[in-house]
Amino acid sequence: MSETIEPLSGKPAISCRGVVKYLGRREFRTQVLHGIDVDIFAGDMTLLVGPSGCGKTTLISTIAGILQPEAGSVTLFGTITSGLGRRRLTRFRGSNVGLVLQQFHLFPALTAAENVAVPLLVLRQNAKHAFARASELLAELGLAAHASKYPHELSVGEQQRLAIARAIAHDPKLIICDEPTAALDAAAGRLVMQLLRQVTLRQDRAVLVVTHDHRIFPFADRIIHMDDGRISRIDTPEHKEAA
Amino acid sequence: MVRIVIKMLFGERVKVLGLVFGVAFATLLVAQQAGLFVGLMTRSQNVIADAPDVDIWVMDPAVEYVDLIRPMRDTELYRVRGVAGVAWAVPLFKAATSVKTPEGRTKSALLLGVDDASLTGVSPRLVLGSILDLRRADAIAIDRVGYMQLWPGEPLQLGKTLDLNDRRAVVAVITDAAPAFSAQVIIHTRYSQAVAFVPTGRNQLSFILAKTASGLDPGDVAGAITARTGLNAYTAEEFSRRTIRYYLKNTGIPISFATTILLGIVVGSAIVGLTFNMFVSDNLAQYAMLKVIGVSSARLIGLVLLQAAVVGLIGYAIGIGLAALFFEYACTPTSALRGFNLPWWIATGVAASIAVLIVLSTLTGLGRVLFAQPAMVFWTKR
Repeated sequence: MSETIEPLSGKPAISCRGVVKYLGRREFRTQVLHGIDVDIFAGDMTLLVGPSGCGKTTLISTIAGILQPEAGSVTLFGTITSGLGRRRLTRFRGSNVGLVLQQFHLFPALTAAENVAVPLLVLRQNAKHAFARASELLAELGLAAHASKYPHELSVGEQQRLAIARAIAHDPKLIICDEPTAALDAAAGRLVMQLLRQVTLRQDRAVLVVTHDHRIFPFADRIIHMDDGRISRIDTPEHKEAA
Repeated sequence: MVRIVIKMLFGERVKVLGLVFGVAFATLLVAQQAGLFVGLMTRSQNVIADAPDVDIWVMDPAVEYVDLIRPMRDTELYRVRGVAGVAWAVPLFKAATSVKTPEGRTKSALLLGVDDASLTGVSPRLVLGSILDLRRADAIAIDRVGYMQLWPGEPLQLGKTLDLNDRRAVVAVITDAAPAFSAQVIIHTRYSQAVAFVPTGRNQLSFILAKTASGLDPGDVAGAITARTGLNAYTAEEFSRRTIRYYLKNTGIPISFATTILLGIVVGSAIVGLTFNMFVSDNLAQYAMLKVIGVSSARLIGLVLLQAAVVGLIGYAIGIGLAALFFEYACTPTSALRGFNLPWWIATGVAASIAVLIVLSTLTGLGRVLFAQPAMVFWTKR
């Protein structure tokens, strides 16, 4: 069912080499990624930052296996995903990638517990086990009392926690968060980042967060700066260096 | 996963109602019209159906179907009886007329005069009285629905009298005769009595009903009758088919029904197609999210088809249920619509048509699901 994941043994969890990606068709075809070379390590929370339109979303889509690069390679935990066929890539993504989106994209007709169970059911796991795991995660994220509520019955903060629970339900090796604090004030943003660090970070898991929000930079282990489809620099925050 | 996608389907209640309505509407219209059409065609050969013992129908060569009468000479009966392979042959008189009750109520009637001796051709389903009572003077058998139209609200009762072309007729038997195409009342009486009720001139014999000798093929014997007498002779099945074919070819009935059925399918498809497209459009981001989560395109198509099948099944069940209710309650054995029903093969045919309708209506939506880019979850709001 799932692609085999190699043990990391010091190698980067995600490795992009010469990744080129175009978007649009004919006269609107534009090169968005210009030969990206970057490594992302397990156990780290990596922030991907840069101005709007610099290619952050295209890069995370390519890393997540949602888009395929025109040139270059993407290696996730030892598997060259850029070489996988569509069906195998979908399976790989289902098993190994969790996404927390800016708009959450929760399923409105499903309860909180069902939303969290979906990735497990997609992997054809037993429904009983899927719902037990969902309950466990909802409890961990402080949503136990909301298990049978629908997304529209939850506050924005609760919906975000629900999206995080869904992203980690199937225990993925890579978690990608797209602008998780964009709509939040400073305090709420800090809480979300604390929660993300607390529930997602593990030694065998990479967490990649796309953001514009400077206020959350202190939560990062590494910060990758992008500009105009290229990696402009990679920072390690001072407190991390000191550590 | 099945439970999840069905729940996702029912999350869009208004659209589900639209889809179910479209399917139910098409099912009801197609099933009801097809049932009425088949019932009408069955009515066209009611006289043939009510004479199950008869193997061969003999008639003037100009007669194309059972409702066209060109009387033959009575002597033709003896010529038919003389053909090898004919076990017996009896006359049948058939005429359209009208009847009037003493209270003045008048109805159109189909008058059938059967062989005086054997009474062959009287509907075998009797409600009241004995077939032998037809041997009494002025005796007639009247069908139950005709009786109820002539004497509405009154209990079935023998001995009532009718005026039939200024002659007195006495109800001696009440039958459950197969409903006729147009006549409201079906009357059976003896041949000698019938020709007295409705004189038709020198030639009076409408049909000759014949039985094949044991072990012989009715088709062969019919051929022999035609060869020997110059009359047209058909097996009962062939004559039924010819009668139906005549109505199909020479009346506007099939076009009228086919138009309604087609409209049902077209309008149903339009409602289902448009609503399903709206459903897919509104849920495209959810389908994309499912792809992101790891659902392959093939599996997603299967799940969407499952959603369509659920809607189709519910719509079909409602539509066919309503059609069945119509036939059950509007077409009771005592109503003017008796004989119309919903045979299993129409229900099955409608199910197959609806399945095709669903697949065709969902094709464009399926295409959009198939080509939905998972990456759209980054750019869409819902």
